Amino acid sequence: MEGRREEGAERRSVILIGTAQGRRTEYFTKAARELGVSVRLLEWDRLSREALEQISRERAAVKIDPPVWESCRLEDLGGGIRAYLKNLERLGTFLPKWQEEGEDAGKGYFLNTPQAIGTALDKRRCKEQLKRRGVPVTEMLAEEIVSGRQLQEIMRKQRIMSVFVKPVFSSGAAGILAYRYDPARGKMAAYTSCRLEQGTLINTKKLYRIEHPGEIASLLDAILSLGAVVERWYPKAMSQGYSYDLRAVYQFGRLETIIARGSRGPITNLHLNNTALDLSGLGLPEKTLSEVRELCKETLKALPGLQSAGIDILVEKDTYRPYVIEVNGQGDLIYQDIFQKNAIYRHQIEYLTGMKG
Amino acid sequence: MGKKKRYSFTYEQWEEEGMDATNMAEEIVNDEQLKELEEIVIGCWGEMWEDSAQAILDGIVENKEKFDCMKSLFVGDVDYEECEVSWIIQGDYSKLWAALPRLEKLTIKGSTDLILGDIVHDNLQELEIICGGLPVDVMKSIQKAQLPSLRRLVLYIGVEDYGFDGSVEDIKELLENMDCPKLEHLGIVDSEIQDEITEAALNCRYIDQIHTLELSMGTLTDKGGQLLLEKIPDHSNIQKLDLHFHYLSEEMMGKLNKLPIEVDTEDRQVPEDFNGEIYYFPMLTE
Repeated sequence: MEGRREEGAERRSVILIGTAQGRRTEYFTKAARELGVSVRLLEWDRLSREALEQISRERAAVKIDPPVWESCRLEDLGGGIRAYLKNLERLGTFLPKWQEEGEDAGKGYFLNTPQAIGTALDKRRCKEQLKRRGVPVTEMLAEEIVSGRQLQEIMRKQRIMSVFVKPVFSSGAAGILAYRYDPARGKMAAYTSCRLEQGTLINTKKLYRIEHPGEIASLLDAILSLGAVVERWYPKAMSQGYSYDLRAVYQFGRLETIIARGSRGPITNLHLNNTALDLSGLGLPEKTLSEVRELCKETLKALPGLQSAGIDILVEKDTYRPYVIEVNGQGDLIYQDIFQKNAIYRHQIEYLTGMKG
Repeated sequence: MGKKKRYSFTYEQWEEEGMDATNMAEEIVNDEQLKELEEIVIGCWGEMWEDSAQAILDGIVENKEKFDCMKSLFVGDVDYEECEVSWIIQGDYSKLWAALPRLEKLTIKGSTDLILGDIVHDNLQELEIICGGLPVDVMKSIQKAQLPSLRRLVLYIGVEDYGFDGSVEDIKELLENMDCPKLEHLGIVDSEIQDEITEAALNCRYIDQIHTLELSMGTLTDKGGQLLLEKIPDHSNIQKLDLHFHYLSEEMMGKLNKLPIEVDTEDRQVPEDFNGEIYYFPMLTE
């Protein structure tokens, strides 16, 4: 497997690029400590050339965690992610030099490469790449859509009644709007956690249902102006009155965990309002679970450079067919795991240090 | 209940293949299993915001002999993933009553273009209408109905913007005049005038025989809570009070939970403050 060290070689040290505070760092370092591995934290705001050269000298294995985005303004969030992409690019262009020069040339030192994390962050690029490789995904509309009026026209012409509008660069449910439009009756409805306050898009933690066409149009225009993808709205499976989707963490060729995220509305990954549902209570057919495993495997194959990913999976109502909604190259923080076995981070440490294959 | 089957078109079938209510009616009436089915649930029949349930209802009436076994029917078992409840176009049920004399339970979701007509049915035991706004015409049909076996009636009242064109007076009239001598489970739920409805429900002509009272999913506040606290002890027949999704204070919840009956006060809501104005919303308001 790419990135593995040879038997008998010296154990590689681990560097975590991330933030000092937060559960990711806390539980990743906890896993390392329990395995007798020391992890050096390199904070994003101290990512100088000297620091990178230091990594180069150490020939360490590197895990990249995301920085923390504090703003609830969608524009700032998108800007933060764009700046982050630039940093990833910087890491990606600088670090391979020492990889190529060293004796372990070509082996790869990253848990996930900066390029692959960047590809996954760009919803359009990631989806296109998966689709090209034949991975079932929730389908994006091909057109580049820049306004609410244009979207309505496309929906009318193509007889698409409901869609999801998502900023290309955002995190969680921020900026997502589920939109339903009936041109024949001139009716529309939208579900979103976004509000427009004095012309600024604000992400809240609450899901709103809106029917006023003017209000919806303003929101659509504002979200689409950020650069957004529009996807068909596939009805999600429901259980106990909750819509749900799945977050699977797949790494090193195996499915680590699946959690079901339930919501009383069509948007599931709201940080405050989602409810973890017991997977065994969903009544998912074995066929679906086996398709999910295959889907994860194919997803990682289609995104080279990712050894570990959080994959959001839609399970279609009635058919229980799974589709990839999006992939997060840093989607490994699962509370149900860290508070219990902390297995995801432990396996990452084992992988990075070459303890286990 | 015996054998059950749910009929619903998948996303692919309705969005890409254009399946509609007529196709759904054909699928159901031509199903070889039909004669064994006791419970039929009808989910998404296609573009149900444009295409009403009428073709399905007509299909059932025209093929009534095939539905001899059916005891339970649910028309419109969809949620926001497929269609807004207020967008579901229902149909005219007038001919269904005579066509399905063995029907025991009917559940209808959506109230747009819903007509119940003159209801005369000897066997119907349960009737539930789930919607964001119940039209007075539908209430009048129930008020005039002859349902000698009806044990359970649950009506979502909803809000004015989505079809509730009446007032508490219409609900009072219904509850004081309805002809359902076996009624034992009453739910008048999901209302923005839930306190007034609580008073009306307590004055229902059958209040002394009801064992379950549902006043849930609405804007029930301490005003309605106080009324229940005072009146429920007078009706020892009431065994269960379902108030879930409410705006009661914690103090009032505590008092109600001390009543010597089963009381559900789950899912407490907090009114919303928009620029200093306080709003109370029922659960289903579309």
